[in-house]
Amino acid sequence: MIYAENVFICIAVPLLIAILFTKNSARRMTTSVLTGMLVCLLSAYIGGFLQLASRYSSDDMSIFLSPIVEEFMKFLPLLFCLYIFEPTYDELRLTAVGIGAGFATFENCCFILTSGAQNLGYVLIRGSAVGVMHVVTMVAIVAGLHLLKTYKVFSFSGVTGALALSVTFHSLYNLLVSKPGVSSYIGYILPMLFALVLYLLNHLSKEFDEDQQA
Amino acid sequence: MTLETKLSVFLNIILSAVLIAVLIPSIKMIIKDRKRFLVLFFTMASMSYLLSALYWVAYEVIRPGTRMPFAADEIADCAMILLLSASLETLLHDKKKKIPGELIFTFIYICANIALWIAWSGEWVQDIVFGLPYFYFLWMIIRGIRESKVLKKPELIACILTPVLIVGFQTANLLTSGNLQNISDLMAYSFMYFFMAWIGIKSIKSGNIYLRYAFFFWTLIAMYSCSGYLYLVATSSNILAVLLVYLAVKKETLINDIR
Repeated sequence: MIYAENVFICIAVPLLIAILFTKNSARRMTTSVLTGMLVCLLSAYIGGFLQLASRYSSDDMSIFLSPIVEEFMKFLPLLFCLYIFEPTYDELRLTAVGIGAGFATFENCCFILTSGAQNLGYVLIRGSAVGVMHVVTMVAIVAGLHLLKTYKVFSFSGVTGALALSVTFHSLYNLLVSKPGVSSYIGYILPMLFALVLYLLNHLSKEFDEDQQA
Repeated sequence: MTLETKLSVFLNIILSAVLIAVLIPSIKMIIKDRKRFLVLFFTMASMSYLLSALYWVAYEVIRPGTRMPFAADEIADCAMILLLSASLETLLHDKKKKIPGELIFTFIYICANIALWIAWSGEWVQDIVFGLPYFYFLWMIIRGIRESKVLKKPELIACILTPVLIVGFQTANLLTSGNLQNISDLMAYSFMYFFMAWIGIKSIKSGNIYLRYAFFFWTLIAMYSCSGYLYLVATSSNILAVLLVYLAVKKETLINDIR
């Protein structure tokens, strides 16, 4: 058993101090990472409660309920930022990436403390799959929200749709990696593949905008 | 894995392939023109549906024979319905939005379907929560069909009466036993598939976007109401409906371009 709160305090205090001495985007990024870590801790509390209430096994929990809780919890600070601070797209994306990275970092820390970090291969897979997945889902949500905002159709349906996409992607990943074998390999590749597709789309979109301006 | 499940997985893989084929040109359209609300919502809905289909395939392959509880694919389906409804709302221009008759029919019909789903599956919360978006979707379709005047009055009456009749037969099927149950079963499925074929052909002939959405909606209702080989027929029709809806969305976007 690990004491997640103690781990959180240990990692959060230096970051909190760092916020005092940083400005602009650096401060935004640090705050977002810290928020992501806090959200991860809160998700673990809610997940634990739901597991007790639903009597799901830990496998079922990670496949069916954890993705919903985690994605919803990551989405809340983003929505708060969007409505309260009215950021630009770049600022919002920075916030989302920070929250995703903070969440993944804290989750990986707790995971490694629980199950050990002796196997470098496994740690690498963990970092490049789960770590990337949390960042990628947040980037996808921001892209969706940005499109809705640009189109001035920022409706309940659109926001729910963007959130549902990230929840389903996360669930699909958890389902694929739940059983060793070919499915888990597909699962490990999926976040990287999705990150690549998002990057390409972003690049294409920018290129097209530049062509239009020229 | 039974033959039915294998066929079902195969059809879902085809559905995923069709959705990917539909998504690529849709994304291109969004990149080229940022003012296409209809395409944006349709693309997001297709993405949700694709993830739902992939999740379903992965679940059947990884955990065959186990019952799927409250799962992410239902969230994705729910989001797809909301997004498709939002896409329809961008097309509607009717000022007279709240027509009580339409609202009452939509409400009663969806509530009756939710009650049937609960009776079949026993999952109260899940069926109510994920059934509600269908209310919004059906209402948008009815408003669209009224606004576009694509159906004549007798056809409209048939469109209202047939689903009501099907719900009646399905309810009778739950309450009766023996021969009466078999007859009500046969009648319900006969009407359901006849109506699906009719609305499918009508939507292809007319090219009307609202009728194509109605065909898609009806294939979903059939998928939720059937099992076995009838479910496979409904899934195949659903794949066709996805393609038809995409073609209608594309056509509608081109018309708006000319305007």
